[in-house]
Amino acid sequence: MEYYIGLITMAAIQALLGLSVYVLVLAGRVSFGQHGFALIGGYMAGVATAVWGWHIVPALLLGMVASGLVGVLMGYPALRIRGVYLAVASIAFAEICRNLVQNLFYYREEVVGGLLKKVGPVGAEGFRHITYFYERGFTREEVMGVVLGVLAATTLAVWLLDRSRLGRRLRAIGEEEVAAQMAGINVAGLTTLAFGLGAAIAALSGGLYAHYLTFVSHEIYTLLMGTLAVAYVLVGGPANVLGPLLGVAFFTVIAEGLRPVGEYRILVYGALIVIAMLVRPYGIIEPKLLARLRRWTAPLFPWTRARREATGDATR
Amino acid sequence: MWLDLLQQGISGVLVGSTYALIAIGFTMVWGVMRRLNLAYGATALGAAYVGLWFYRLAPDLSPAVLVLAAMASGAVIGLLVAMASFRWLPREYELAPLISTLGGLIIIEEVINLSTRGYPQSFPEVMSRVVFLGPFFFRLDHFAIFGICLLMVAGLYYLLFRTRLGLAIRAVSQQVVAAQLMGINPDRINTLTFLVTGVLAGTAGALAVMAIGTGSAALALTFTIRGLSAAVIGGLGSIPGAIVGGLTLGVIEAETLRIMGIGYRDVFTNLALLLILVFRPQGLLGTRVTH
Repeated sequence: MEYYIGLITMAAIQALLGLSVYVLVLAGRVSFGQHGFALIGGYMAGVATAVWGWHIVPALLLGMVASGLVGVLMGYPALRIRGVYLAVASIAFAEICRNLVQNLFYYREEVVGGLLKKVGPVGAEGFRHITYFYERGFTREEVMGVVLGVLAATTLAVWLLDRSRLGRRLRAIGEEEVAAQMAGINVAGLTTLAFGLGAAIAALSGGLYAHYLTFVSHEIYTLLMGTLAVAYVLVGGPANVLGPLLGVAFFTVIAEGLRPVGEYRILVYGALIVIAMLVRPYGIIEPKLLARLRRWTAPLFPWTRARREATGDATR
Repeated sequence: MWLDLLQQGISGVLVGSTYALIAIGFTMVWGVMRRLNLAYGATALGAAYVGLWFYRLAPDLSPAVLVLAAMASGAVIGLLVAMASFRWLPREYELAPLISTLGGLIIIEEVINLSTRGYPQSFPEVMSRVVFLGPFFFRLDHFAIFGICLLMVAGLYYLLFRTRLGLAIRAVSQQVVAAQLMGINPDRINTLTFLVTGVLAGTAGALAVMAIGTGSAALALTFTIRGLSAAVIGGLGSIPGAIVGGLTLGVIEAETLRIMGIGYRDVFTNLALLLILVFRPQGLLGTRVTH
């Protein structure tokens, strides 16, 4: 039981990172560096609770705001570059974050039972004792509940964003930037905004991860984390907000099914990515499937159809 | 002080030549397909390991066996990547091969990890001598590596500009549809490009790991990031750019190591990459701005 609780918590944290990639994919940007923002969120929130003794909610918010601002700063150069250039730039950015925390020392010392505890980032040794949850007697189940709750709320928020005018504009930028610009969409502003939002969600994921693990370091937020987050979105399908969640579920369930092969777990992940792309290159939830689902379920929701006909949006 | 910097600069150029070889692979695949092969750095490392395996079968022979075997296996791995991650994926959707080759990177890295049980492997040295030239000293193996890299680049230029295959590769790289109308099969050229770049990957991987001395699975990512950075610094799609980018990266690394120390070396290398991307997205030698 304990094991499955850990599994679900981890999956939810990864799904959050997947959602942060999804927001960027809406605007047609792929970033392999979301783990850099997760790192910022993890360290900021960790310092706030463990070193300054804050409550976890403002701590996570602080991480999100800090990371969101950095995201906006990153979003500005991202206006000039797209595609693989942005992918490389985002990796470089995340590597810089990882390198910087290896030189970051900001801890207070505590003597517990005759042992010296260093609470806070200790350079390359990492950041130990982020014990907010466990000090306050949260059980593993409750931590899982918190993480799942945050995931549900974030998914809902991203879904609403996706359906809003803002979301439509972002998708327009993702489809064809020049056309979007000619249609009067503020490409620069919205892309930067998407970067900020993505960074904030990544920071949320990173902050929860730090408090769940109680320990973070530059070796926790690795490029593998950032790239798997992209893999979840693309394997699940970037056409719908459920794509990233489905992607995480797909990987988790299959990797679990193959648990007897234990040490081959990461190898299986790699193989799954390759196979998934061969079988369903546009992701599990692809636009065609969505259109078919909409057709099938249309009789169940006559009012949406009436509205669609009224607004002339017959395709969606 | 200045002598020191110059000394470091020259070592940087020598080490950078292996980055240049890896960068050429990224740049060529980008040139013909407008796609990124993220498994390329891992291909280089995987080939080096296969080379090591062959070398261990006959350790009395020279380390040249290792390099030759790595070249051959690099071609094979390159072909496998082309089949698994490019050949049957939709051509107009760039994200699918991107993430698929990432899967390839993970697979190769894990196969190395599992087959060596996670232990670093020691690779034979090309040469262990150090030469003194006036106030400078050099590792002779770096010179050898630089020489072999020059040879490979010369061979590549011969292939690209003096053979029919090279003509076809350049044609596909310039205009796929026009090349197709001239009777060139782009799928075949793409696959052959993977074969050619695979040979380069094998050479670069074997030489780079031999210069370092010990190989580990983690190097796959290092190669990927360094090679990709070098290709992007020089301008994706440009082979001279990849060479300049690789050497530049080597020099930046060596100098920041000297000036800032190991703790901040990577920060400045990555910062240089980020700044080049932002202020000169087409790279140092790139001309065309592709979005």
